[in-house]
Amino acid sequence: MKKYEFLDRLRSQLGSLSAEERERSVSFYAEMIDDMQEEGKTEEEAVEELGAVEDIAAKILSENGSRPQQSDAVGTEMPKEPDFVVTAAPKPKYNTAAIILIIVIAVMFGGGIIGIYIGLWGALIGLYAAAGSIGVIGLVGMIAAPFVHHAAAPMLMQIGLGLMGVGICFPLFMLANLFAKGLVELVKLCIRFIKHIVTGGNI
Amino acid sequence: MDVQLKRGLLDICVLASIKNGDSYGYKIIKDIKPYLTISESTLYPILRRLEGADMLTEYSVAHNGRLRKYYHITGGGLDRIAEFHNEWKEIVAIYEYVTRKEDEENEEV
Repeated sequence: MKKYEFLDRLRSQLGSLSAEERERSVSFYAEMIDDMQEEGKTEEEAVEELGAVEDIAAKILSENGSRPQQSDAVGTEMPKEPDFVVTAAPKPKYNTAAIILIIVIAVMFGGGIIGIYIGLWGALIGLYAAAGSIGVIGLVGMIAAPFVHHAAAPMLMQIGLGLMGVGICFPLFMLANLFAKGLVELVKLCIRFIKHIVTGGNI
Repeated sequence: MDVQLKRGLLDICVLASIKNGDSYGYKIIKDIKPYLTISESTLYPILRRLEGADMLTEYSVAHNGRLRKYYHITGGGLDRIAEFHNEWKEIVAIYEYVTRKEDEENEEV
């Protein structure tokens, strides 16, 4: 191949670059061929030593962050594939049967499930209320005892009962907290389980 | 040689080839070839990259009725060579570690 032919083909392959960048590349290779010829090589030998135009263009373009343009010359080698191919992340596959099943269950038992769920929260609120009221009644009873009773025995008994109420209130609060946490965890678990049967992913 | 390692070393070799005097593309290739395989199509992107990183500058000189581009190293390029010396000490330490581990293994056998 002649020098001008090589440079023309290189120029056409670098069509996606700016004119300045393209001419810079072309003049670099022109200089290389001239220098090789000065050393005694023939024009054809010099061009051959540079390698395939497509490979050269692909290297220049990959450094510039763009793809080589398809060669319009007939019968030339196609540009090489890039070393790596960026693939899109696989989309999660949905299990249609599971979705239908969930919808059926939701329609049939949805009311019941929501009822149970609200009921559980109701029970929790009840537990908190019970703990709170026992504590408050106990405390009030204890403080009020000396003012209500004049005899020692019933007064002491009321103070004792009040103390018991305050005492019971704390473990009852802890129990209610535990219950609340458990309920939240249960809901999370249910959501994860539904996700799992729908997408087939990990729980 | 490992492609990544070679890529890094080529940058340094190109800088080294112009460290003690400006040079041009074809001469840079001839200078480096005994040490690392380098082609014209490899050199061009390296020169562009080093110029972009302000490690060298280029200028044209008339030669035999045409222009020839010369490359001149900058302070940034010299810094890069100095940095390479330190990096190389780390590589030697890693090499010694790897060799020592292999010797230990041979002693066990």
